[in-house]
Amino acid sequence: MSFVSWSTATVALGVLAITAMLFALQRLRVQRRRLGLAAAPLWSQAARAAPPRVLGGPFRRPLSFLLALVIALVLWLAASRPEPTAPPVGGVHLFYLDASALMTGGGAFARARTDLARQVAAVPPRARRVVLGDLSGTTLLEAGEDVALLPARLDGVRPGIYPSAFSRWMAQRDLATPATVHYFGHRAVFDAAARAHGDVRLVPGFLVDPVAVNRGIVELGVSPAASGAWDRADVLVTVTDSTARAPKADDLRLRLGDAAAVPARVEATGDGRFVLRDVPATGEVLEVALRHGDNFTVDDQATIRIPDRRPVRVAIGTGVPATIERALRLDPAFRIVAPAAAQVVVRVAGASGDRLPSLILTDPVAEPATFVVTSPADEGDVALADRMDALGLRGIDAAVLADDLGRTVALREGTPSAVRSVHAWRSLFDERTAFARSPALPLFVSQTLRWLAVPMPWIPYAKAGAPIVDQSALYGLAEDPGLRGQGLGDDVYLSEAGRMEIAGREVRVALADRETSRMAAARSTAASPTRDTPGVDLIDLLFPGLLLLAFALLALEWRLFQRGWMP
Amino acid sequence: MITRWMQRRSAAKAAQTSITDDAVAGDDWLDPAFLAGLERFSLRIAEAQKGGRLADQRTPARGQGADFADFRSYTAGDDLRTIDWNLYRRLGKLFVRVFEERQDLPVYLMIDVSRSMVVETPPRLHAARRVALGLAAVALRQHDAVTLLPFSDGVAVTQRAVSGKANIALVVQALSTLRPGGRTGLTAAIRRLGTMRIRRGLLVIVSDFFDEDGIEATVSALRGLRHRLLLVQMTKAHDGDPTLVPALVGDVTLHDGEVEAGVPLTITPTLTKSYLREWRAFNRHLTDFADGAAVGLLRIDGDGDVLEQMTSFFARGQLPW
Repeated sequence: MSFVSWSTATVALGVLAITAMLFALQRLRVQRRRLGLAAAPLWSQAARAAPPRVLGGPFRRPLSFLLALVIALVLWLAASRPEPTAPPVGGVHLFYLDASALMTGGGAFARARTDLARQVAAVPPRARRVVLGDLSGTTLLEAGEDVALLPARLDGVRPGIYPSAFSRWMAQRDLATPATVHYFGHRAVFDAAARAHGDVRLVPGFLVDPVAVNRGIVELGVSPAASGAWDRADVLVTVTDSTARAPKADDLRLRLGDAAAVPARVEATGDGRFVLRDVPATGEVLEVALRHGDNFTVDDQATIRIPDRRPVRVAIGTGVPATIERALRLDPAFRIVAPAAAQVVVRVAGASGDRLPSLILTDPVAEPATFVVTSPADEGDVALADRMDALGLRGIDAAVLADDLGRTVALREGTPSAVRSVHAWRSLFDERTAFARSPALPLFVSQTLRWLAVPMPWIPYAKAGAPIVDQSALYGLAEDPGLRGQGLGDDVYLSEAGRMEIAGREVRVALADRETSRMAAARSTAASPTRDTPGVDLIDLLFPGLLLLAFALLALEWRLFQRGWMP
Repeated sequence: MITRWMQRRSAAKAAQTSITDDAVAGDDWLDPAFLAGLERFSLRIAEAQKGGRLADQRTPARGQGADFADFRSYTAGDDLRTIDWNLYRRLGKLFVRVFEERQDLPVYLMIDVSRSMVVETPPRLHAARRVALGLAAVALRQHDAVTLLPFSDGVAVTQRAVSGKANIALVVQALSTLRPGGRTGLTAAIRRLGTMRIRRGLLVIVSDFFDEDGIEATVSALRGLRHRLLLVQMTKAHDGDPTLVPALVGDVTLHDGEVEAGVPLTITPTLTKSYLREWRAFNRHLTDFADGAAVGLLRIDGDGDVLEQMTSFFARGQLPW
């Protein structure tokens, strides 16, 4: 069993106090004197004839009524907890509990939480606000809310693996209202904020000291292999060391998927940067860890998902012009396979293969549009201009093509279907057409088939506290429709390091924050700050004052009653 | 705690019992001077029912006696001493003188021995017993038949009819052995008496008249009796002036010794006024009944001198018969 508002000891004390009070009241209860009178039946008859409580009749004892009224009104006022509407004297007290990665070690966060609850209770409710230092700055306790709510709200709060947002919160808060900010978090963050916001009254509530030494991974990114190998990627890893010791490649431990990874080459480019060359781009997770950890562990390891750049498996149906097959054989990003193992199909209209994404060659007589693009309905509306980029149609000279074909060249959206497909006139790919002889053909075939294969987006890095970056377009890939949909026109924000799922795609997020790793072991240069004890406003004494007044009046009433001056 | 509570309760019960016993045993009520003081008074009614023994009460019976009543023609067998020879000389016919025959009066003394008669100090029963003794003494002296009928929940005959002043000792003994108890069942007792086949006489009721059925029911029952009535109302001064009881303020539980729980009350001026109204109405009922039905009503203050109050009553000639 637990008590939301008070501790077990407080509840037990309350039980004892209530017991004592009830005992006293029991002792003070009206003790009726027993009196023998033969005329008792007549008294009983008189009591029945003159009931003690009647609404009618003249109003008697106005002073007694006045006293009872004052007591009731005082209690009513006390219960309503009056507060002034004017801002509290001395400004508001903002309590900020930093829940960033810096607070993850050694039970520091639990201690900060305990100190926070204690210090918040000492500040009048209307003059305080408690904010959780997560990435969105969640309010834990609004001004005026009872402090009893705080422990329950703090119960589920844990520090997350993301950079501290305190500095950003300080910059964004309401600067018009004078405030005292009580910070519960890491000493380095406090020092940095104190330097940056000298005009703000910033006092420490609870500060975690930096660790002695920290070595951490502060950058982790992936790019296409500089070697030109299509199915390889280069990975950038940056390591910092607070002791200024230069990290070595041997300090890194690498795992790709379930197995230890041995890159073709590891280049140290200085300043703690390492480039892992030609890492297989198979869509697996690369884990980079430091062989020798330290007391700040959250930056000792980081993961990233390497994009999948394996060749697209293409099946070519019968009747497909040789120009297409020739282009595919020359492109290392494709591998021609049997239909059963294919990801995408190139076929003429009417041939089997409807269940796979297909490039379908149509008869110009049957299909008036030169190109018809069909995609599932859940991919949303996409501008035709974007379609042209994705399909490699931008490089086609439409005028030359129209002259060559003797018909108008047109692109249209087809009716949404279960899988993607692109229809193109078969005559486009005849050897004799200018299009077949132009560089636009392999570009169109390559881009179209890649778009049909729905490749994994190229995410160069995924960092906690930063938006996700999709560089697919940069590397000739179509933008992932899932990521685009999640963004809703804005960035997709990565809240915390670890595994995330966005639009059905698993994304590995790393802390990889240079500032966090630096602060974890930063030496404090500022003088030890002093704590601040908030003053008590007179208005805050109103509630206890009213209660005391009510009790005093009740005692007076009791005394008057005892002396027989009050009925 | 329960044991202590039971012990306290037992002690309270014991205290209540001892008060009752004191009310009977501790009274030095047999006072020769009291009886002597009543010798000059008599209980007479206009006409007692005939059928009793020869005594002092006038009756409609004709026979032996000293009071001339009438003449009637002589018939054979009449006592020759009753012939009025003067009439014979004037009229030439024989007439005999007829005399009023005086017989005894049945006096029924109903004494209230319910617990309300002993709940106060001194108990009303003390004075009630003296009143009963006084009235019995007067009746015995004039050769009337005295019957003691104590009542509470029911009515009992503790002393069958006795007459002659020599029997005063029997009455004293009977009164001495009265034990209070039970509730005031005056109305029921009166109704019970009404059904008894006894000679019509003088019924004396000595009670506080605080019957649970109410004074109206009591009066109604009294109207149904064939006897001459003398109501002796045992009162206390504080009945009409509650301020004489200092403890009667604030929160009290009043009990008349008959209802265990008592009546929880908060004494206020309003309640006191209401009680006084009830008390006056109560007395008015009795007075109106006494005035309207030729019933004697003697109010005795239980704290006052009984002889003085009885003397005053008899001296004023307030007996209406």
